[in-house]
Amino acid sequence: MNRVIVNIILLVMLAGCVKQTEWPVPDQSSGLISVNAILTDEQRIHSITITLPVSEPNAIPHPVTGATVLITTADSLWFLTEDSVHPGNYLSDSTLVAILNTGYTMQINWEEKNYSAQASMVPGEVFNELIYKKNEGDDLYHIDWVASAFSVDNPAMWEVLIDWSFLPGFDTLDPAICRARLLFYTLPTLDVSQIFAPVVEQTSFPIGSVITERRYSLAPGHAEFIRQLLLETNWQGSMFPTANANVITNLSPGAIGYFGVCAVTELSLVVELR
Amino acid sequence: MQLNLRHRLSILFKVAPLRITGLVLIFMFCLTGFSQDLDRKISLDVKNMPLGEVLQQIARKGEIRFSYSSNSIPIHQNISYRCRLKPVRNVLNEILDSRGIEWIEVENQIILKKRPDQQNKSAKTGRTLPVHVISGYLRENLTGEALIGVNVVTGGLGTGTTTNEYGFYSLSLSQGTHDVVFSYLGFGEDSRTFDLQKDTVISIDLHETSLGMREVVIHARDNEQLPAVNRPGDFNFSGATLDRLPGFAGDVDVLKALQLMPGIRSYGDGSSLYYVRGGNNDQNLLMIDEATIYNPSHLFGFYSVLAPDAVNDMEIYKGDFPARYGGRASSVINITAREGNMKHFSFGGNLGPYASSLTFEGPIVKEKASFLISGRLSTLNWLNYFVDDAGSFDLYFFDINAKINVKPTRKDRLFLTFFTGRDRFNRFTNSVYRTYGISWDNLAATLRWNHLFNPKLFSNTTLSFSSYDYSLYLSSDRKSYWQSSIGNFTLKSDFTWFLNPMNTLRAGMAVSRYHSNPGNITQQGDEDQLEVREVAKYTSMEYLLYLSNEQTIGNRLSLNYGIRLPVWQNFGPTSVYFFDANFTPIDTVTIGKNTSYDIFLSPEPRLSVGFAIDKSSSLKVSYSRTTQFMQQLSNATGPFTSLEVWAPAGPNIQPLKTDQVTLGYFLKFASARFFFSAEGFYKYFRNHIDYTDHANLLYNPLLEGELRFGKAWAYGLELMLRKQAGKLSGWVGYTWSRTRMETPGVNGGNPYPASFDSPHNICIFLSYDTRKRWSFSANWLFMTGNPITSPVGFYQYNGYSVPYYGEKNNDRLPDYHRLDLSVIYRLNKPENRFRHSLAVTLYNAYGRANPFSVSFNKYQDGAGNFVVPSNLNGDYELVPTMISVAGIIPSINYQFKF
Repeated sequence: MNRVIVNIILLVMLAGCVKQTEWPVPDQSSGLISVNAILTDEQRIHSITITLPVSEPNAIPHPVTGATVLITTADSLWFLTEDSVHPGNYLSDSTLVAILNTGYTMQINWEEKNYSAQASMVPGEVFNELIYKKNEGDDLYHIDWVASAFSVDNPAMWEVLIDWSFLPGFDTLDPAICRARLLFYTLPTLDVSQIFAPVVEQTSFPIGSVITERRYSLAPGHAEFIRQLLLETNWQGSMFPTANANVITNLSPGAIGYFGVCAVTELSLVVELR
Repeated sequence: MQLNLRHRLSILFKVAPLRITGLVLIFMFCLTGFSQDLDRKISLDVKNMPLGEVLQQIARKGEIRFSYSSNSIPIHQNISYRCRLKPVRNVLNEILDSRGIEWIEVENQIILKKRPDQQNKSAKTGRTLPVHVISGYLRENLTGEALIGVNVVTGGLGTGTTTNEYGFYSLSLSQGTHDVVFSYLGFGEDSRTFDLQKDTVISIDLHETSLGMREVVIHARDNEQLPAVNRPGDFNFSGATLDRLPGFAGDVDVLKALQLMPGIRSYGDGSSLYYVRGGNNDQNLLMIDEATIYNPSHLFGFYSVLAPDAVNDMEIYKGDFPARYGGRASSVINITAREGNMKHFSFGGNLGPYASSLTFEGPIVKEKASFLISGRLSTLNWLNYFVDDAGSFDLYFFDINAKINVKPTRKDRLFLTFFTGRDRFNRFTNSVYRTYGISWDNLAATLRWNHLFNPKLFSNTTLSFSSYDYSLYLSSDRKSYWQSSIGNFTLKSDFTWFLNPMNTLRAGMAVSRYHSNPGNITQQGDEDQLEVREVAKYTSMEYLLYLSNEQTIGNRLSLNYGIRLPVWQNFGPTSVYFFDANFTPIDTVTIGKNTSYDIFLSPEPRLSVGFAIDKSSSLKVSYSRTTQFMQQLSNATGPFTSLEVWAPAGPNIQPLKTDQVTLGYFLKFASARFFFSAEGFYKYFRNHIDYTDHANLLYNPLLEGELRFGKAWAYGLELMLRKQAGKLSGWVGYTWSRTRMETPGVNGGNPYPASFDSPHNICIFLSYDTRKRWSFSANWLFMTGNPITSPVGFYQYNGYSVPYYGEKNNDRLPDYHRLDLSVIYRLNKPENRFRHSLAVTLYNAYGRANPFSVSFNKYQDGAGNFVVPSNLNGDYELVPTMISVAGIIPSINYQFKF
């Protein structure tokens, strides 16, 4: 009877009945490489990660090592060197800083195959800080609002870094479990899957945590890539699913992922009592 | 030549022995006790009794024996006859002669055989007799409701017709005596013998034989062209059967009952989406009294908008449409609403835990005007008490069906029908993306005028209005919202000319105005002002002419042929975008108000041929061309209706055209208690819509650039075995069908299964009625799992595990199957004026979890819930999960009527 009532509740709440299942994915080589590349206007070392696809969502992807990676503009060129500690990561020096009105080309050569992509940056913006709220039932807090999820002219990616590893009581724990990295988005589109997205885990943090909020500007193509990425990840499995399909890429055939150039604005705050 | 005496005597001596022998034989017959005394006098008093039983009575009383073939003598035909002390031979003459049956004595038997067809020639003179017309209206005795599809057949000639959607019939017969039988499943046969000397009106009230519940007749009209006595395609849900169907949450759903028919496949649990012979959901036209209903669902599809108490009749065409129907590529469902009881007031209801309905009807002026109003309201918010997490909700739906029926003159009838339905789901949650609920509204109204010019010419003129809109609220005060809408005004006239018993001509014309809004944002409040952009709206006109003939040739061959000529025209104000080969917009044209910018003409020929092999079996072959100008744009793959967008044919959207051929075989056996049908079809689609990957359709001025056009083809075989009578009744249906598409720009241009392709479908319905207090029923559905595109691998991007895919629709979800059970207990006898009952239903009795999607983005948290991870630096184990809609859903409903 309880299960019946729960089913009715779930039915009406549009959460449906979610069950784990077995769904083997054929282990077949696709011949593709996956590129995760974001260049920003920050003066720092930029990293491009190149891996091979895997047959399971939890599998650790094999790094693509020994590739030649360079970033070029009309009048400049930067070679990226592979990180010896983290193979598959290709690092720039701190002189690679994106600027407006400049087109950037990324080129990869690996196992005698060439891959390339082009991107440019749109301006960044200052922004209002996010809103956090106290949880009901404990002394922790959660992110309540970051930015409007819809904007025709100013799409953006929001990276929220939360760190409480230094706080008393947490400083003896593994720092990895006392930090969080959350992503939010402002997109120029609306999707049914987005509006009725599945339930997302709530990340909680204690008072005194430091929140760093970073806004990445998104060019139109990059925003569309993010939209499709979310349709295949965070928004997948809603009560209003859409047809599955491959996410677009601006990389040449043989490569998946995206090469984007973003202007970053940032602010930090400390979680206080509310 | 004069015979001399000797010759005469020789003849006499030649002939005389024969005559003497004959006389001796006769004498010997007499001496041997020839027991059949046809002058014996008998008395007889029978009413609505099958002819076979009447003959048995005559045989017993008259001590005679009959010999005949039941294939040629209508022994099941009900007759009424009364006599007192009349010779048997006179009784036979009176009963049999008018039914075209002749009798002769042979040895100790009375041999009966059918008289050869006299057509319209006098048996005595052979001259052609004048032809007159019998016509009239057939109605239900208790309520005065029109009866649709009643068989009107002449006993001797075997010709006949059926009543139309207003209960009217017209039949041309030769002058003379005729025996006409009016028959309708669930009602007692009425047989009338009359001497036709001029045009005659015969209007009859038929008496219901199944006591209690009202009849809802569903006609699979694809076989309408078969002789009226043999129309095996009709699928009749008797009132008792309909009430026993284990509907969702105890609410019988006439539309969902269609899912139990072969060739009509539903999506699954909680869905009002259905697919007919390989066509998509938006290719089905649903009408109530000729008004279009664009979204027939409540609660996202768990209920349909059709209140069972308001439905009188349902016609279904699975693609083989007569010329008077069209506008959609795959099916037409025409529902006739009940008119209201013309004789006395009636009140009834169905009270349940999730929704309740009440119906009130009665005469405005007895026998002249009536009304019916039926309302239904959901009762779901009590579930809020069980919600213990953030996210209380306000959820409701309601619908109202109302109709007024007036007979101002003997030749005129007026009908005013009104329908409105609303759904609202307000959910208040704290989430990053804030929306404040959704709602959708249906509104339809028709004003119809029947006019009888003469007994052969019937007309109907309809003015109808339909509107549907879907809203997503973007502010808490609901002053800001996204909304899509579609609607139409239509004026049409249909003429039916009952030319003669072999030909019924139909012709009609219509003009319609359509408007559609594919989705725009309106902002009025102060909260969260969004940047808005204009998505162009559409205005269109449709003009229509059609002409058709239903022709019978002899007793075996029938034809239904015609032509439908729709013209579609688009008008401004609007903006039209033009795209290059890569679907990049290259030009925008602004169209002024009332300026025409596009026009389509698409003739649609229709042909159907039926051949009656004998009285029990028939063949049918048909061809039809259909065109659909207004299409729904949606790349959703789930079971629920969701923020639909409608767009007409235009510069970027070609009309969808289909060609369909069918071949069918139909058989009745075991005294028509069983029915078997086998029907094959092949359907070809041109300009079939599919979408670019991750098409953006919700709020996109360039949405037409997201569409891709190709071809599709569907083929299959539908089998059905049905038992129609007895305490145990029901049917078993099996459909094998495939649907494939091929679209440039999709799946690399290679063919792929449609998202609703389902090779195997089985439906079983069984009902046992004890005829006393209890009735039991069950239905079981099976469908091959829907095609999905499943990953062939995953790659990492910025902390996400992203699936990637190979072929489109390369995989399938688990097969769908479900068992529903229902028990009805009548709380009093059905013949009582006040009737009430309890219905206990168990939807999905064995709790099958039928999934509609699979995803790879969730992990199981400490509370056992499957959620999407938010911390991209976290260490999660993502697991494949499937979502299903319904577990076991019990319900107990109280039904009453007086």
